[in-house]
Amino acid sequence: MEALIRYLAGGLSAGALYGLMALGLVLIYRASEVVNFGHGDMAMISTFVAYTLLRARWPLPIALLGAVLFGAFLGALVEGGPLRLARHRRASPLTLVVITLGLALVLNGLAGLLWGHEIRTFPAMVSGPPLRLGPAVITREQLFNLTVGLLLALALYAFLRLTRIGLALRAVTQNPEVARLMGIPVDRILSLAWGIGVGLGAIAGILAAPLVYLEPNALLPLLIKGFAAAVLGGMTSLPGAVIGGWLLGILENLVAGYIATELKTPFAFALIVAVLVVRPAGLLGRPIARRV
Amino acid sequence: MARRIALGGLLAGILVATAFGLPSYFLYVLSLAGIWAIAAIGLDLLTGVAGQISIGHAGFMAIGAYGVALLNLRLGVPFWLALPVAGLLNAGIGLGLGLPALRLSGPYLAIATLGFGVAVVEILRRWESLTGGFMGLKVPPPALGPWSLHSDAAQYLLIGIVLILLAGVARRLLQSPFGRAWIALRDREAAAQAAGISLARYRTLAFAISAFYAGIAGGLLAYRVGRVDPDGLTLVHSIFLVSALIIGGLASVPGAVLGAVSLTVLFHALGGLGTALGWRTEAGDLRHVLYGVFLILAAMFLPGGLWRLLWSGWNRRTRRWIPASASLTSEGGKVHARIGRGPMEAQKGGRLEIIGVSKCFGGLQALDRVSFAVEPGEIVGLIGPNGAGKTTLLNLISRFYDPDAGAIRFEGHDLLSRRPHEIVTLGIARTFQNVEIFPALTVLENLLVGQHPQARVGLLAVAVGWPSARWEEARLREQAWEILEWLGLSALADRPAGSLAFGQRKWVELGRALVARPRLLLLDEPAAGLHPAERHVLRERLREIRESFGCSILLIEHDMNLVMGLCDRIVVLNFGRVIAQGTPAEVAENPLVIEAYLGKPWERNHQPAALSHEEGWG
Repeated sequence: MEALIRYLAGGLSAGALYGLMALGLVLIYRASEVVNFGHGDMAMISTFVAYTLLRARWPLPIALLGAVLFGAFLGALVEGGPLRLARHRRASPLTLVVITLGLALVLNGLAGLLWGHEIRTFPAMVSGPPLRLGPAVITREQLFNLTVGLLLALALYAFLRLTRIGLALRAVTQNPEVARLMGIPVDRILSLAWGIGVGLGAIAGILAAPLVYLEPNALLPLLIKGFAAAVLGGMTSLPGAVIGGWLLGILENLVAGYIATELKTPFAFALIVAVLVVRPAGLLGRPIARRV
Repeated sequence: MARRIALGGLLAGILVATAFGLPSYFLYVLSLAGIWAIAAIGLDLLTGVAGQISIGHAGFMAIGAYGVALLNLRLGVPFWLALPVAGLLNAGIGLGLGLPALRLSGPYLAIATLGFGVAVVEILRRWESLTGGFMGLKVPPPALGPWSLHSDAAQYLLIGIVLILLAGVARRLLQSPFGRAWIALRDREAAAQAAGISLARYRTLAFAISAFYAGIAGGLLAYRVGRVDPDGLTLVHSIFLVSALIIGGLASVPGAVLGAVSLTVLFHALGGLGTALGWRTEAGDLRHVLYGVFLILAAMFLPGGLWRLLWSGWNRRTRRWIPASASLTSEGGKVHARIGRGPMEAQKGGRLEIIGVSKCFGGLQALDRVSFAVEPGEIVGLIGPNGAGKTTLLNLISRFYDPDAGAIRFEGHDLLSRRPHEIVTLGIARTFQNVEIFPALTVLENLLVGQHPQARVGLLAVAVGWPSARWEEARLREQAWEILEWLGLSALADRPAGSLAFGQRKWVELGRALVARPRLLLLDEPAAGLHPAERHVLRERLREIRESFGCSILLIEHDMNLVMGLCDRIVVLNFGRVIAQGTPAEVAENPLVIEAYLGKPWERNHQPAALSHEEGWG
């Protein structure tokens, strides 16, 4: 029983990070219909920026803010640069996917050139003895990650529901053509969506780095799990992404705890395939209708 | 045939000459290039031809490599057997991974393959008792009888031969019903299914074949490098393969080879430069940056890749004059006599029954208890204002949608228990409102897609170029050619359908429906967009189709001249309901019809004549 509670707590906090990753992916996919395969490497580069700023003895909050803003700027730049150019040239969906793959490769190589391949430790945001809540034991870091994930999801929800820019963003995700005709600056809104999406990815990377250490390929599992959470949630649903993240975190912890730790990443892959075969619309996604 | 032997001889000559003429480091690099070329051809069949991107193909290569290594080390299986076994094992896994492709395409499949590649690496790393973990396994060189093929020249020859054979297989597949089915599904999924191509079967087949190629490439790589380890084939290598395709040119076997060879050679040149400069990991990172930049630039600015660049440069000098338009006039009459006696024997048309069919989209009742029948040999017009539900009804018959209630029968068969690709085999072919031709295929190939259900060829027969496959192809082409001549399109036969004018496309689409030898033809606005002379020809052709093919026709049309002059009976839909049916004269007199088209009768006094000027653009 105690083990089970431990798995649940660990699963929820890891799942919060997967959810953040998935939120960014889904936001970007819904806004621009591009699956960002460079998401993991963009998060990784942002985390390296945080690492460098911290090494330069910037105060923690400012260093982290700087890194997240860097990620957001990078996302906006990618959308405003190559992707917009390709879209204006009427590129196929395959081309857009390939561009994000190319970016992943470029960023991965750049990180290797700038920071090398040795494994670095990244400081945890909080430390201290684990907390006891009745039979449950939860580390402070787990609680922190869980809280940050939840707060950011709520903040994004409030932003989309309560602000004019959020409304414009939702309009663009529904129908970019009509949104443009209604006077919404679609290009700027798309850049914003990419900025927020990659910014969320950067936060996920920074929170995950203390657990997985830091090197150019360290965040690849996080990317796969972000995708698994997004697919589980339906790929088009923001609440689905968050819930999908938690569910994936719990399930993979159960698999790791009761079967084998090694199976965590393969499990995420198996889950992607299973969801796509059994229920392609995921938990909360729109049913995928075929247009004739 | 002579050309093929000559080409084979030329390639073999080049292979042997280079094997003995080049220094062994060059042979080593070219061997690796050949291996990547094999994998790239396989990926091209999936991504370029079938339109399904995979970013986990290195995972398939890794399974091939470990499969060969383990078969050899654990079970003592010789190379010659282990290589095809590993390939087939991969094909099986590819079938499984292709399962999501049954329902979805695009980003979802890319995500699944990404996960696959990463999961494979993870399993290979952790399953130490089997795979040796991070250390990997040593693989002895293949042996041919008493001789061990360990020299660079011998391995180069081996890999070169496999590459040439597999490239030949891929080319034959491309020019067979298989390749055309993949391209048709890639570009126009609905039209491909209506032509009788099973989405599930061909998408998973493409995955399996592609995985087979990757498995062979992986197995060869294990032998060439002499060992396997989990970090040799990762996500980066999967992206490398995609890059080879984009840079070399999609949907082209020479393009895939060109891309893979040039990137591999550059890879080793950069590695050599790095060693010369004393770099440790920088060469690898620099490669990633450069390849990423190449990939983005090629995707944006080099459609068709290097191969098309070379090819169009060559073609510009040698291009032949092609007639801009085909004649659509008189020869129909004399050819149709031959069609009547030839393979297209006159059949009796089939009876279509629509019984109480309803369909709702959200809150919109698109069809409300619609019932009517098309009798054998009849031409029935389906008319009604825009949004009346006409095209929805056709899409229900084609099984793209499921009705909420009702039944649809054709010659006694329950259509609702059939899948979209099975409808044409029952004898129902169709055209689409927005002209769904396959732009990347030639006019003749478009018709060949229409003959898909009649093609009796096996995958293996096509792959090895068995004579039966070639005879079958010749037979299909001959039949398609007859229809082309009858429609007056034979001058355009080798033109890409995407380069045709709008009117010509409609004739191609009609031809594609006709080659399926339907007993019922569904036409969605065949006259829309045609100029008056073409409309006249169309009317004649549709009559002849009924006479010489014995085919019933159900057509949606807004051109009232055509409908009134051609149809035996007319069914009028308005807001999803049948408001009238009968002969053209009866329908034209019907006050409900006049009201639906023109508003209340007392607002306009000249009713039936006005109908004939009504034209709509759905």
